[in-house]
Amino acid sequence: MDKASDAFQEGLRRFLAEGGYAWAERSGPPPPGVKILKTAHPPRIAERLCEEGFPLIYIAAVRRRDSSTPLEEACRRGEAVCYVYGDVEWAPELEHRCRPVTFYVDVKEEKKALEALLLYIAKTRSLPWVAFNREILRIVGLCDAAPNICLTEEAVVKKVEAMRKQLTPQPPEPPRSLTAEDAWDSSKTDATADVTAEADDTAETQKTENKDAAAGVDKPHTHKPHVPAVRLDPAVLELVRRCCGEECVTRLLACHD
Amino acid sequence: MQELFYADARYLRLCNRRLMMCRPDVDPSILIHQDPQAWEELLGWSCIEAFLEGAKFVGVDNLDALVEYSVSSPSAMRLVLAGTKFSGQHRQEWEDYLRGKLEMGARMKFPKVEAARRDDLWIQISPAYMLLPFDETKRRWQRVAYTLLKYVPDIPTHYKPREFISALLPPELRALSARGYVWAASIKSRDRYNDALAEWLYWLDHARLPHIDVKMDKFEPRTPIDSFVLSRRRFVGKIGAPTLPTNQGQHG
Repeated sequence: MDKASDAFQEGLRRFLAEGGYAWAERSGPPPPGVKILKTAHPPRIAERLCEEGFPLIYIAAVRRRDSSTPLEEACRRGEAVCYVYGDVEWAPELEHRCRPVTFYVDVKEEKKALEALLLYIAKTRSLPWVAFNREILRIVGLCDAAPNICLTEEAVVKKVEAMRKQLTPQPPEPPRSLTAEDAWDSSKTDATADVTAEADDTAETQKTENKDAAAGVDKPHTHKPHVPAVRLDPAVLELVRRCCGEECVTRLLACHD
Repeated sequence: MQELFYADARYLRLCNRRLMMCRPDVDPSILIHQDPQAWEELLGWSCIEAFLEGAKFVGVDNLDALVEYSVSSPSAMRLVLAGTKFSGQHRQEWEDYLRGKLEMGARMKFPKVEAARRDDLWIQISPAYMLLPFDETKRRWQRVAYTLLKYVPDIPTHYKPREFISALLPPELRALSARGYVWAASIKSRDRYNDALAEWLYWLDHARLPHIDVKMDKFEPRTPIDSFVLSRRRFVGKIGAPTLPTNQGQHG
């Protein structure tokens, strides 16, 4: 368990050094500030891990107005905006049980520094953008760079619905030579064809059963136009995965099947 | 000797800039008011420079871009402006805002006319409340503006809320302003007037807030009954204020 935490700590040190950040590592709880994640794990989760000697790693990205104040001081005095990241929410009751380590990172000069830090956290902790505080995503400019990650859930749902409608093939228009009644009949059969087309290949066996059952009945229009099975665009799925998380994709696929 | 004098002057100028306080003549709701002229006149350049100092971080370097950024992401402005010092009669409001406290109610008290009663409408929260992140204030929105949340369950306070809300609000709700903002504000919902609703409709139409437009003499009436707002610029309305004759015959 210790090894895993050290790997994260080491990796973070390497990342900060290679990225050219000004940073300071202090043992102690994180300063008060703006939470980078929407919700962190509750403190009780950390208790057992702390007993095993697992250190709690926090990152405080500090944006100072006056660069003369040390990073830690600026955060404590409220003279800087501190964006705080931690897997576990810090609570006073953890003070005597846990070993917190806070990395104070200076991000005053460049917004890009904060953006890179967020990307690093998202990557190493496998977090989707929905887990992050949306105001911070806006601050670092991710909303402008990739507007989809800043859309709210219902906006994503609307977008996916619109894309799905685009992908669904339109029913073919009835030929003009038909009378109105014939056209009505053919449109009904087309509609049924669409419904069956929406089902996936896995439902093929069920279809054959239906066909067998229908074989006994004489129907005037036995030929159905071939409509390819609708598949979700991988780009849409990727968008859903990024914006709503893995579970959303699974649900969507299950619903689609 | 002269060089020294110039060096001193530059130093003093720098000191002045650091000591320069923002003294706004308006409440924080101006941050969702898309009118750079109003920012110049009501905030003044001392505030704008202080705001730009913080906004440099997000790649904003002029007033127009600042106004655009602020209106498109109201709830992120609290982080952009953090550390700014305020003074003057609105100091407390701005400091409270940076601490995450903001008044919920309508900023504009419209004059009242006889209007319909709609108990199903419940939007008693001003658009200015979008300056605080929706995730932090969701409970209040649910309690005080559930009609709005019925159509927009997740107010995107962080990114282009106006575009998004405009697209999702049903036309029948937007059409309430067809008889005028004054009429919309006079609709009663459970014995309360709908000033906040009128404020929303005005903001969605113009991206500006009515009380600031009144200050700037830029209020845009929708119908003749709205002109009453302009004729009584210094109107401080109260519930129970003298009621105007009905406009039903004229606009009904």
